[in-house]
Amino acid sequence: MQITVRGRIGPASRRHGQEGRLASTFRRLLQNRGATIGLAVLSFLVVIAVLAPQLAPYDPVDMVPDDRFLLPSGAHPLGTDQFGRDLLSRIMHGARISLTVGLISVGIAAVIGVVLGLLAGYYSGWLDAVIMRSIDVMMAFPGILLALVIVAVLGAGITNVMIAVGISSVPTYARLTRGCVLSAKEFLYVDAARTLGCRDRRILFRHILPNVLAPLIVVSTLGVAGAILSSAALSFLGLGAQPPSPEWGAMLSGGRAYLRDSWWIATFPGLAIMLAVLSINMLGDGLRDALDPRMKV
Amino acid sequence: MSATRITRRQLLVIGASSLGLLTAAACSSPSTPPSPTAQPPAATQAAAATKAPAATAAATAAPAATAQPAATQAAAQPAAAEPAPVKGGELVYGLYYAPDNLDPHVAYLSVVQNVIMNIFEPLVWQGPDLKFYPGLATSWKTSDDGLSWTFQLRKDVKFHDGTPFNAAAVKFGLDRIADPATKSLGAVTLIGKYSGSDIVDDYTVKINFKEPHAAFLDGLCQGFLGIASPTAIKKYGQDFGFHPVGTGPFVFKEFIQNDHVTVERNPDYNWAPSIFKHQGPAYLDRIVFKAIPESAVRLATLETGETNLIDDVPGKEIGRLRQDKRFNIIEAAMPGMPEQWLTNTEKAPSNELAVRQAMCYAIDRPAIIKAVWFGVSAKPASGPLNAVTLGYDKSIEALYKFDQAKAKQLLEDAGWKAGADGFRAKGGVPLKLTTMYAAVTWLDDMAQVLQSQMKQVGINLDLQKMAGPAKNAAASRGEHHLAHMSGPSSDPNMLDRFFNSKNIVPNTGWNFSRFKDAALDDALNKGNTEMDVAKRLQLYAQAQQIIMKNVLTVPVAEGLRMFGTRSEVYGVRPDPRAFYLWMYDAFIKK
Repeated sequence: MQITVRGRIGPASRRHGQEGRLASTFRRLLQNRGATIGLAVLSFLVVIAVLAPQLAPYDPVDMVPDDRFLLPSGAHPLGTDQFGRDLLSRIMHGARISLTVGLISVGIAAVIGVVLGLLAGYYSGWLDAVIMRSIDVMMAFPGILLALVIVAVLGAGITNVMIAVGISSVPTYARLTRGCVLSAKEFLYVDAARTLGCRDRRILFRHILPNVLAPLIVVSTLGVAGAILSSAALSFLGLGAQPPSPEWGAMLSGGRAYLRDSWWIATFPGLAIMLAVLSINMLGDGLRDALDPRMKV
Repeated sequence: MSATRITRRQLLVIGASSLGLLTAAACSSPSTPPSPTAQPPAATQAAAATKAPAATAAATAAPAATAQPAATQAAAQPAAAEPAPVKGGELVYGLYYAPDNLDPHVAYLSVVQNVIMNIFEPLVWQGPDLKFYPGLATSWKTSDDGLSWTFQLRKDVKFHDGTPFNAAAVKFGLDRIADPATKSLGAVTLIGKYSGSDIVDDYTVKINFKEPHAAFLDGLCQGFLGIASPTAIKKYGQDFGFHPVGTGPFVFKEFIQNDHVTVERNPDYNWAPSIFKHQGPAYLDRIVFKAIPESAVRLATLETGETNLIDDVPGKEIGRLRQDKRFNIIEAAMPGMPEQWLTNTEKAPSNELAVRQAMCYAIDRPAIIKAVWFGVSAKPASGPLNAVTLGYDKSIEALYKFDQAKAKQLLEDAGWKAGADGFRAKGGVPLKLTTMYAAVTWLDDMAQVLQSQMKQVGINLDLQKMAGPAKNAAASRGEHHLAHMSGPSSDPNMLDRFFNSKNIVPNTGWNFSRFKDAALDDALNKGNTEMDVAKRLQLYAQAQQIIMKNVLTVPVAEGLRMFGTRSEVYGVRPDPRAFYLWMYDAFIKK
């Protein structure tokens, strides 16, 4: 009995309750066909990315002059590129780069954006004004343009692309978080926590943050897709991954010159980008529906 | 029918494959060509049209008050008999790069000459036989000390704005080029140590130099020294590049940056040099120069008929177009510098001669040519000059032959030991070379093949694609180990610009090798002023040997330029340098 009572008011109980919510979210997610397909495709890509060195039939950077411009065939299921490199192997290795870039960029954006949003929303006043006006300045530039500028300053390379794409999407997270915090901080549990003598940090990160997490998860998921696309675009422009690394955007760019009669060189990396972005978007849409409070019965 | 289908299919493939990237592709600005007179990759069958280096060498021996560049003329006009010329019609020319400024005295991009050589005219022309012919100047002679040149000028020439052409216009132009305020990039490199001009009479001008300028005629016949209307220059000032006024067979009409330039026939033109096939106004009503940097797109426009002449047909497509009656290929060899990688001799590890030599042994040129030029075109380069250039020294060909074992041995002996990843290192310092080049597809391809070849001997090339000007600036500051460079020139004096140590100048200099050698500087300095052709060529032979023995450059390939035309286009000929096309005789007959 005692355990149960303590459980209701203590942290353990809250964690228990959250697990329940997660489970129901996941159940609802799986009822959504689009999300299921998205999750399946994404899982497939993740497996390929992780196991690329074992699964890929060829070395992704090995040039075979005699095997240039080969049509898709049994030996090379997706054909070979202008240097005789196996496209399937390159795309498999490219999955590692693209997914990593997507996750890390979003990680950078989310961490910076969420902290800024929490501070701005919670403290209001001058801090809010300073943070949000700076964010507004960043939002004045289209994301890809801002990323271009950052890469131009930092120099080309995949690491800098992650930083650039990350920074350029900070405003999204900051604004969203701030909005959620503004409404969340008016709830009684915040007053209660404050009355009990909790410090601001504890209130922000233990009480408010978990309650504004749902929309952030949705946006982050969709953000991964956006980040993959942005980094592919930067690599397409020659600012991202440098040769010979098999980045999808760079492959698309390199194959473009041969589009006329060796369509597969640019097409398959393009399809890979599409597949990754589409699956993540479908999953993100499903998550949004699943996490939407109005959907709860 | 097939033409439209091609475009649609391309669009579909592009659409399907790039998805949201389309926007990114659209804003992908064309990267600036690398060299001051950058040229695109040449590609094609080194077939009948190619010249024998031996023959050119003989030509260079020709006595010359008119120093004779042994440039090549490969102009392979289609063998089919040309019909009688007809007047009228519009020629749409797809350029490989967008002209940025049509002021001949300021511009430096090679592609600009394609446009301005129709609007402006030089004092002197170089004919297909490589001899110099009267242009706006009817005759010329040099003083005994070689310090001044006197030109007699035509008396019947008017600029498009009505200004009469005379000695004052020539002096005005040269003074303007020499004036630092003009910020001349191309023309200023062609006038040597110009000290001023004297107007002897209205139609006689004496051009003076502080020291003999051996390559002056060679410079004079280039578009950058075209004669411009002083009235128009005074009127437009720095905007003259957008309102060019010359004496040529075509009058400037319109310039939309990064899109097109239009010129129209000059009805008053009646002073064509004798190297052309007719006199009087040009045949074409109009020429539209469209900038289409994307080679596949450019070819597609030729096939759909949107253009009827294009620069640089991709090597992969040459064979197919040659089979197709609807098209012709015009092939032209280019004197000048080959596609090459200039080595930084100051920065470790490329400061070690062994490392530079190893690269020369490790490079498998036929494989690169096969990969980048589809094997049908360029031939291996051995030095800093193409074999067809005046003064090319054949002896350097024996210096480095493809030999991976030797490359490895050189590195091994120099203390570079292979690590687990196959790349070498010495005392914890990896053998990693920063390799800079302009972000152009074919250059990217060349760099990647080179990267894979260097990997085989344990050298790690760190490829850095950059905007052309950024690359040149970085390399001028010595931030590279290898920097791509190529550039057409009909005179070997271009070596001075790239290898004389006085041109090691951060941000603006072109000496990327940073090699300071008294003998090399001396040969290059003397070459600029030596009026005796045989002695002069000897100096350049010395320079080439020093350059290659110290591996200041890793030469890759000498290319040919391949222009594509639709079969209704006649009379187009490349100039002897393959810089641009002669349009004056061109006509369209369907």
